[in-house]
Amino acid sequence: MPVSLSSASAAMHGAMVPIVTSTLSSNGYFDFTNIPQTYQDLFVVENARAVTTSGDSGFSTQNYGNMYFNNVTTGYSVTFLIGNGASATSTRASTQTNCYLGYIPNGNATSGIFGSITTHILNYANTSTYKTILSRSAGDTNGSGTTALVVNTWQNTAAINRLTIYCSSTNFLAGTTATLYGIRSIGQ
Amino acid sequence: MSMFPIASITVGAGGASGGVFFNNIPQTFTHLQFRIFGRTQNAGVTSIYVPATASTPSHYLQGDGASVTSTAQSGLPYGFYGTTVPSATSTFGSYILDILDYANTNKYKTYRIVGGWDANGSGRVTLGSTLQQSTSAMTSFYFDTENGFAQYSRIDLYGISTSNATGA
Repeated sequence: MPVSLSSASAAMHGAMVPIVTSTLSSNGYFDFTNIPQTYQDLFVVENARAVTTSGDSGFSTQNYGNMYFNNVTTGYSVTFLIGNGASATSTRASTQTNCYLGYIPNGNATSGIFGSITTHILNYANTSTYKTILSRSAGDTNGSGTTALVVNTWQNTAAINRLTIYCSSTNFLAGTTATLYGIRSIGQ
Repeated sequence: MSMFPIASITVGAGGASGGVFFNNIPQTFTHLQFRIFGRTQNAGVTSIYVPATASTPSHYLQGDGASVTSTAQSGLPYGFYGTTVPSATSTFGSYILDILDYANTNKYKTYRIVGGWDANGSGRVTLGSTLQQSTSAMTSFYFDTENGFAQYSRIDLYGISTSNATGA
């Protein structure tokens, strides 16, 4: 679901400024373009569910929530810390095509169950540093579920001006929401 | 609940070998949040920490991409000594540190930190706590790493207020 930010609110609400929010009216994904370069950090909040019934990483009721930047699908790497209700694990993947933000319920989960992902993108407009992305996910499906703390690096010094937010099946279920905030620093 | 920027420090060319200081922290907020984007100057991975009173306790839950560990420290005059930042080119660790009720003079202060880094083949993600065993209101804060902060490292301080109107 492409969303242009040209009409984003410019109103200031303390340090955390809502830039855009979107709810999927049909199955799809989010594509936030023209992101203002005037904040220190970005913060993304998702309440999401995948359409697919094909799970990821051995979790039959869960799929990855994903993101990539500026329409670039190279240069990502990730370290996970995951709890599934029985054990804790940590995994890693290098040289990826996207960020992995954690896990959300999929089409195998009871109807009406959505998961939550929050993502911090620090120093997103800096053109001298790689970008570090910190996210947490929560997906409980009443009998199974995951919670994850995840760090990604995008090995690219470009300023981030576009976020594409999707799940591993590409499509989120209708009703999935995503909100993008800018975090102002002093003087911004 | 609203969040307001208080101060920001960006490390310039040449790095900062003596740590990063925040002084004269206003006492008018309910909570504090530090947002840390850091890299160390020299080779290797080093701890990022806050000097504290002797024998400050900390606890960590960490994943390094292969295993999960939970550790405790109690004999160090530092907080968050188990959190680390990388030195890999252009790669920075990100941490968010929350300090609740920082101006209260009847409570010890509990710090919560969440963050990590990934260097495309190595990395660490951390959930940590540190107990500052002092009832003094926090008026200053000091961060350092074992090898200083590299250029472009940045720490932003925010105050978080609560409102009777919203009940937040």
